[in-house]
Amino acid sequence: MVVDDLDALQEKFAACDTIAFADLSTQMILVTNSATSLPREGLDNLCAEAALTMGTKRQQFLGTEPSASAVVASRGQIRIFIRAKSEPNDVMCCVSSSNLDINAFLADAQPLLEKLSTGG
Amino acid sequence: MSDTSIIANKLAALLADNEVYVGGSRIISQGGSPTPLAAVLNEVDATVLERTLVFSIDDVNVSMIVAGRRLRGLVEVSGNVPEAANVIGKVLSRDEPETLQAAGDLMLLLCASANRVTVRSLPVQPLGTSSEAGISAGGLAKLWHIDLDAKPVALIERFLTANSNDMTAYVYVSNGDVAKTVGDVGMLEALWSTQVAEFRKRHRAVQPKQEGARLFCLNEPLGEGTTVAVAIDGNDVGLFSYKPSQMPKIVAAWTATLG
Repeated sequence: MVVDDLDALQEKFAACDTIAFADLSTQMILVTNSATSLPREGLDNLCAEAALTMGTKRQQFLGTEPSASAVVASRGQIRIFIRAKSEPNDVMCCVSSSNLDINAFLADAQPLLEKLSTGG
Repeated sequence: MSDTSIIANKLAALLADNEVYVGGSRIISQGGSPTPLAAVLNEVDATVLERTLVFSIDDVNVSMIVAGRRLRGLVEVSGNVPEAANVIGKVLSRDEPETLQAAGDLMLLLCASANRVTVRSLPVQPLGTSSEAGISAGGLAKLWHIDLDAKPVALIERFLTANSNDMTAYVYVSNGDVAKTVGDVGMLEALWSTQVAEFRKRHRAVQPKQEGARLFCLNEPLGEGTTVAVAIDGNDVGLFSYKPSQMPKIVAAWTATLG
């Protein structure tokens, strides 16, 4: 089940609080890891931030093309957004403390996102 | 006493509630603001009773004996710092200019690129005789050419300058005006003039609780192989491009700057 995959990823990267699979065409979070601390409103804001920061096919707010990925860093927290190569409306959103190993996380998260996006 | 008002102001500043502590030590400089050595000397200037001040300058601890707003001497420097050998255990005096210079060189070396400086106040340790009063903080500032009242460099400007080696180009905007550019900034300036203001407005709407300084790093926003980052702190904005492989390092540098 998708939630099991997200839980496994979150367990491997304990700095992550929230890992979510979202559809930017509807701007909806479809599934999150079990232990996320974000309420519904927070998840909605996270999805909206993904669409704004990375852009969609219809509109980009920073740049001229939809971004492949984005990282937003503020005091003590980072948020990572990754777009599926196979389906650009499918994204993974992650909320983490700032000590996350970003390269290691991306190395696991991108393949998982592709798997979830293709239904594999 | 001619300086009672100065002491009263310093005591009031110490009672201010806008202080941050980590592990029992008070942060006095973060990300280069205020200037680390100026922050150290200002702490000496604020210390009236005889104390041992332990400054943690990144991963080096320096213990100083301070009394009456004067630095009497250094009693300990942690780790392997060869430059400390000529300074430890000696009372600072204008009669010993070589020791004074060595102490200044040591502190300048430790503080040069310090990301964080904290201070902890401990009971005094013995050093020299009671008649050896040391040097005032103001006197040391003059001897070591430190401006105690230097205006801190803005966070965005500091970040861009400190990490410029990892950037291929950058634009620094202060209060709406382009203050500095490095490299080929045509596209970055175009983004600044056409997109950043609207992006900021929309971002405030989707993340209203996310105030404070923020960094956005985008991968391929202008097509394959491109990067754009936007750093925001109030009315200061930095736009820069960077090598994609450097993104984690840049993000780590940003979070370290914020503390």
